[in-house]
Amino acid sequence: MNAILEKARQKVDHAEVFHLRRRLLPVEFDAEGLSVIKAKHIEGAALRAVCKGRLGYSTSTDLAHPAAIVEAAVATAAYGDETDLEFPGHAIDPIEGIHHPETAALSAEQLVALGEAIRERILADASDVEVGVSVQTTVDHVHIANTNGLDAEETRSSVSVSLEVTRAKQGDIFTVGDVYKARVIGDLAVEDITRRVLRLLRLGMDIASAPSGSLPVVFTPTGTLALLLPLIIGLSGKSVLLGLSPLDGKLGEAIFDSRFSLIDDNRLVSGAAAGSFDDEGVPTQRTTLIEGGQLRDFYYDLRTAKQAGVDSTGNGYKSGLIGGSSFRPAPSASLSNLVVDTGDATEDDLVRGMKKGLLVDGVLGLGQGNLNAGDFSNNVAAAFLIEDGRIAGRVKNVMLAGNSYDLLRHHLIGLGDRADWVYGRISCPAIAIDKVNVAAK
Amino acid sequence: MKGIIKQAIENSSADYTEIRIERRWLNRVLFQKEKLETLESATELGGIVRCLKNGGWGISVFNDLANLSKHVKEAAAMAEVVAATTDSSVLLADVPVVEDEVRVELEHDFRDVPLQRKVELTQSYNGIILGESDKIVATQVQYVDRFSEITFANSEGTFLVQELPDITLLLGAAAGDGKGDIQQGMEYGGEAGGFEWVEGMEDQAKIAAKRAVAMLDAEPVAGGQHTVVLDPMLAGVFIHEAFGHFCEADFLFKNPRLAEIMTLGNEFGMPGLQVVDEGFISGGRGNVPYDDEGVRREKTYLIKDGCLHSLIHSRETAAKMGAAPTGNARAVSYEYEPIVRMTNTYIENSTSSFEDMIKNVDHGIYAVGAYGGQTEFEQFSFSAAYAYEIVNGEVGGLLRNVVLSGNLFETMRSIDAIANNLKVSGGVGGCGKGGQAPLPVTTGAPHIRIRNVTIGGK
Repeated sequence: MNAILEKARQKVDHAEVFHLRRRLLPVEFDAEGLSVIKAKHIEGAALRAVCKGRLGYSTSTDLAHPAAIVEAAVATAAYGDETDLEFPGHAIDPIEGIHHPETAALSAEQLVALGEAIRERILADASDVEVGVSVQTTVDHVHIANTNGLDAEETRSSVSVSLEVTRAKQGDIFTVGDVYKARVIGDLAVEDITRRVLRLLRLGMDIASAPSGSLPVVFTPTGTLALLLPLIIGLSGKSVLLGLSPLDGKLGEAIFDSRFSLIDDNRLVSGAAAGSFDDEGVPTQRTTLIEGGQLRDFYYDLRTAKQAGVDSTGNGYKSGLIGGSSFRPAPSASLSNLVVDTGDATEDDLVRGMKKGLLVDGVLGLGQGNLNAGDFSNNVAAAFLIEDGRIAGRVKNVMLAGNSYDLLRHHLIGLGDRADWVYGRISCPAIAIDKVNVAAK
Repeated sequence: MKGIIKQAIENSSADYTEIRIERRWLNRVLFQKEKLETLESATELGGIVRCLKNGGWGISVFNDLANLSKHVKEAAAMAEVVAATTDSSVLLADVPVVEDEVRVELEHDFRDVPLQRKVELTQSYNGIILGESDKIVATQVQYVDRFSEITFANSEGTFLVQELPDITLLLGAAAGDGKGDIQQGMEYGGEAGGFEWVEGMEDQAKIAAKRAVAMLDAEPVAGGQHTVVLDPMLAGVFIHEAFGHFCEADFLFKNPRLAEIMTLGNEFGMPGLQVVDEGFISGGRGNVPYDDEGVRREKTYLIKDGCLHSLIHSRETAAKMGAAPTGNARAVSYEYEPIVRMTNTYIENSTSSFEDMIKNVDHGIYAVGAYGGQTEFEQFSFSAAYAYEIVNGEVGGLLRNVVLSGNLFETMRSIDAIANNLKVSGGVGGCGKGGQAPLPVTTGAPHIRIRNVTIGGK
């Protein structure tokens, strides 16, 4: 790590080394029980180098040869993008609670025991299903150093459960999944982890005939992803720079219903993306993106911030739009922990208020439709008919379509009073929306 | 290295041990608008040990190759925990022991091409798109080359070294009308080939740009049920995503009730329907001379004359189902264990033609290319890149927002015409399964016609 930076210092004008040492211990259960345990020890480094005003980038897992990593970055810098990128030298304000040694020390047997308990709990309630469970510890040691004097390192650990439960009968297959993440295993209570899945399995027992038309829809927290994905893209400083965001030039304007607020907060320890600094060594912060329906900010990494003439919001991540991370990709503007403000209705209230509509818990084909414009178009994975304020069965073969910007501005019925973490990174309540286009086969 | 690997396997306490070491080189050039967004060069070196002990699997993954024996021990220890907890016992189907070395010879080896040339070529395509129209607001032009050398050895005596080249090009354009509407046009592809494959793509760059602009005037499709003709690209993605994954035997284990539907001999479509997974075709991105369990490639008919003919297997699934391994155990990298995956998957030619297909359609949709899709069991949902109306037997105006969805089995039975112009293509990304993505594959088909497809729309 330091050898790479020292070698780079001799050859280039500015340099930044990102080093990740990751240990994963997943134990995986399939329909028949525990199937495999994997111990993964991944270690790699990435070097960003500025040479004569041009940016180069290389990554390697072969850390025994720091000179080769530097040479590769210098070679790319010869043709690289002209840049005035400055690596940060800010002091880091550490956050507490993102690493617990007892989490890192969890044994395979302890993870197996939790997985078994979850499986048994589900099968006790629903004997006609196949249960897939994976319990995993993740311990990341991240170290960033640059030629501007930054030398920051942090260990982040978590334990997570992913669940996939399938009921198949007479040609009908119904599957529900979930992901839970916690900092300590004690926070993963079997009852909490299985409650939602068991409720959906109960609700999904009977099939209802699907309605068509312009209808009100209650999106559960996991269902909201269809609505939120266009915003996640549109609020990126990168989309704005590329001229792809319809929010360009609208800072300060009321663009959504006044009850809708959105915050990105990578200092929120309960979120999976928490850290004291982002993947460029910028101190993390709480960024209000939408407040009371008004557009307050976009999110930025160093490069897009520089181009836009603003400061990075600490959203430079080596990952995709929602989740995943590695030492390999160059940092880009990505959300960390996204928080949607809660409202004052319970999810049941929202359902009770509807004469005819849908409860949507999950969709297929996320990312389809013209996301830049705000359009979504998805087949439902788990959705239920609401009739006279009650769940009247599961619906299949239903397409949802709409425009997130339009729906969240003009057709927001209400927000749930309780938020759940979706994929560990999006904290969101149920959202009820009117006039969603529903097409049944 | 061979000696060290063999020694580590020999010292293993497990019933079966395999080691796979991968060395990988990658270069990526990405232009967005006028900007060279990414230029990177990467080297990977890593390994995986997989041990089977008392019928349980244990795995160890690592980048530090200095102490192979330590990782063999760790994998064996994990396998013991599994075996102690579960009753199920894994067996592996017998396969021939092989020693082989598969080196590739590329017409114009991209490893010999200077980085500068890669940047300049990518930049020239980007320039063509930007210069096509003042309505072009963004571009995404990406070149990626990747070369892997994989060493595989197991405790049965198999020892293999094989090289896998992969080169892809994405030519993406976004056009705007200045009033907030943004539309895309994309041309892309990939090959297990050399640098020559990405040269001479000037026309494709133009086509991508022109289509983005044309899409601004495309009508949104009317939702509902339509007769749809799929082009080879979309039909290929459909057969891979919606049907192919069901033929993966490990998927069926996890879903025994679905396995009943996927019983060999069951009728899935018209007699002219043949679906193939083939481990090696010329330049196919899905090519695997040997899979990641050291099993030699096969040509497997998934559907023959409309009926389910074979599944695809790993050694474990083959043993469990009493079938023969098909060479379909693949891992996306050394970070992962092999699971059952497709390679080059396509619908074979039949006798119809595109003209015949649309001739008698009063009103329908001609859907072209794919912008992604998703399946969840028999439910699928795919976005066509673009589409045309079919009116009175002729191709009409451009349509947008065409998302096809439905039930796989009903949709397969509703295929009523298959043309004779098979085209197989490798996308730029690959296939995802079990957290392993993107795995290079190719998909293909001739034009196919499907009745009563649900199209989402406004």
